[in-house]
Amino acid sequence: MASSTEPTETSGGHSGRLASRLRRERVSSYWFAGAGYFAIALFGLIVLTLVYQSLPLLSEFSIVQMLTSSQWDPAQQEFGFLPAIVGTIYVTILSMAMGTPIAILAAIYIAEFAEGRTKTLVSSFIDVLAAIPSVIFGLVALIVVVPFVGDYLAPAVGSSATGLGIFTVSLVMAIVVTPFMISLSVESLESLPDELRESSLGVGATQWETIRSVLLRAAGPGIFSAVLLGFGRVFGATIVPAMLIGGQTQIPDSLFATGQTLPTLIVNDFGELMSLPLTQSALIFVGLTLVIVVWLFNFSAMYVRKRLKRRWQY
Amino acid sequence: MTQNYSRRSVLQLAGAGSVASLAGCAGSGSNGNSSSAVRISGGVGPLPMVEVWADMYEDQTGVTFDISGGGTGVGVSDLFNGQVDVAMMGRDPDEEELEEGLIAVPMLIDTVVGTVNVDNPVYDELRENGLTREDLEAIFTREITNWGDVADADVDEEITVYGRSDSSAAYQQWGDFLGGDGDKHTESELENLADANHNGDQSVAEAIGRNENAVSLNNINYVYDLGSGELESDVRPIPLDIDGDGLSEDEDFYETRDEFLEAVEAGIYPAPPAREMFLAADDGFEDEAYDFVEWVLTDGQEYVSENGYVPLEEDRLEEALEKLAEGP
Repeated sequence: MASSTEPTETSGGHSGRLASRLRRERVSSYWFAGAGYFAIALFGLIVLTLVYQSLPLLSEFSIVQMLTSSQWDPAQQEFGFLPAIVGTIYVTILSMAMGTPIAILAAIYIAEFAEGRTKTLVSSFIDVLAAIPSVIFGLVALIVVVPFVGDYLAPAVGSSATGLGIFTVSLVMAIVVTPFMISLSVESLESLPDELRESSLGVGATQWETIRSVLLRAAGPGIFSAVLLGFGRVFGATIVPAMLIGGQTQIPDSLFATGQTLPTLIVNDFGELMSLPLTQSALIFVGLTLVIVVWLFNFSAMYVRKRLKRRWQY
Repeated sequence: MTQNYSRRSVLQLAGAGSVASLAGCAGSGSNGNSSSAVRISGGVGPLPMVEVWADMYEDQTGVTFDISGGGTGVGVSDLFNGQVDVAMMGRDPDEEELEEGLIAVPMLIDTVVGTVNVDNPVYDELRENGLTREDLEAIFTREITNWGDVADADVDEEITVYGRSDSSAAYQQWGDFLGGDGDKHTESELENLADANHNGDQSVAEAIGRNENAVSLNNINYVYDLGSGELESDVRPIPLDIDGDGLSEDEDFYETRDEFLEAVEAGIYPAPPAREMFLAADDGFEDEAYDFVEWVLTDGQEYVSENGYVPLEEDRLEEALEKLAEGP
C-alpha cells in the first residue's frame, strides 16, 4: 500500500525510497523482537501469577513442612505434598527406564539397519503413534492394560493390585513418549555425515562397532536431549496418569500401588474445591513447584548438553 | 530485492490484520455475552438437567444460554470472578463461600447408591437382605474385606473397593452417609482406604462392570439405563437395609429407576446419600438469570423425574422461592 504513495520521481526520489525501505526494515524488526519478548513476558506473567496465588498458603504453612508431610486432606486443611512428589518421581524413573532403551534401539534400527519400504513403513508408523492424543492411550489402557496388570501381572508377582497404579501409568507413559524419543534420535543419527561411517568401516570396524563407538558418540548430545524431552513429557503428563493412577494421596509402597503425581493432584482436586481459597492456593502452589522443577530441568539439560558437545567431538 | 520487500510487507499486513481481528473478536465476544446469554458453569452432576431446562426455557422465551461444566468449585470461582451469572453446585455451599456473598438455591435432589457387579458372589443375598449403613461403612473402611463375611454364605472372595480419584460431590456425600449421624469420612480418607480410584462416574461404573468382586458407589443415572430406566448393564444397586432387620416391603424399590426415584421423593431412601443440588449466584440473581431460576423452581420441576433426578418437595420449593426473592 505504501509503494503507491510515491508522488514524483525527482532527484530526491532515490534516497526517499531508501529511507522508506529502512523504515520498513525497522518496523518489521520491531515486530519480530516484540514477538520474541512476548514469550519471555508470558513466562514471567505465569510465574508471577502462580507465586502471587500461592502466597495465602505460604503465609500459613511452611514450605519445608508441606514438602515433607504425607498428609493430604484439603477438607481438614492438611496439605502435604510428599506422596505426590514421590509418585511423580516413581512414575518418571520407571517409564524412562522402560522407554529409553527401546527408544534408542529402535532409533538405531531405523537409522542404520532398516532399508527401503520397511524403513518408510516403520518410521511413518512411529510418527503416527507420536501424533495420537494421549487421552486415547489412556482410554485403550483402561480397557487393555489395567485388566492385564490387575489379572495377570500383579498376581504373578504376588500382589493383589487392581491394575490401576504406578506401574500401569509408567508402562503407558513409556509407550506414549517412546515415539517422540525415537523420531528425535533418528533425526540426530541421520544428520551425521556419511564419511563418519565410511571411515570407521574403512579401518575395519564392524557395523555394530561403528554404531557403538562412533555414531552413538557423535549423535550423543542429540539423543541425550531427546531423552530429556521425553523425561519432561513424563514429568508433566497429566491425562494418562489421571486416568490410570488410582488417585490415592499416600506414599506408594510397591510398584503396583496406587498413587498420585503432582499434575494429577491438580486435575483431581481442582474441580470441586477451586472456590475454597486455601485449597486453590495449595493447588496453585503445586503448579508452581511443577513449573520450577521443569524449568530447572530444562536449564540443566541445556548445560549438560553443551558440555557433552564439547567433550564428544568427532 | 523486490521479493524480500514484498514478503516483509505481507508479514506486516498479516500481523496488523491478525491484531485487528483479535480485537474484533474480543469486542464482539464480551458484548454478546453480557447482553443476551445467561452464562452458567459448575458441577457435572446437575449439568445434564440444567441443559434440558435451558433448552426448554430457550424455546419458550428466546433467552439464550452459555453452559459449561468443570466442577462445582470451578463454577463458584467463575462466579466470584464475574465470568458466569449462575453456578451449578453438586454439594452444599461452604461456609467460606457464603461469607463471600454466595447465594445458593436448591433446585433438585440427586441420588447416589452403593453398587456391585451383577455376578457378585453374594449378589442373591444382597438382593434379598440388603446391607445396613454399618455394613457399608465396614466395607468401605476395610473392616470387612471378604464377601464371605458380609453375607452368611460359603464364599471366600476378597472385596475390591473402588472410589473416585477426582474430587466429587457424590463421593463427599457418600462419606457423610457412611459416617452416620454427625460423623463423616472425608473424601481423602475414603480415597486412601480404597483399593483404587477411578476418574469420573462413568469409569467407576465400567470398572464395577468388569470386576465381580468390586464395590463402589454411583449416581443412579449410571446404574439404571437412561432410556428405559431398567437395570440393563452389569452394574447393580446395593439395597439399603435401613432399620437393620432385613429388607422389608417398604425398602424393596430397586428394580426400576422410577420406583427408586419415588422412594427418594417419599424420603424412604435417606439423604445422604441422596443430596440436594443448588443454583448459586454472587450477591443475588439478576434479570434473566432470576427469571430462569424462578421458572426452574416452578414449571421446571415437572421435567426432573423423567431425567433421572428427584424433584424438591413442596415446602422446600417454597423456601427456595422465598430465598430467591429475598436476595442477599
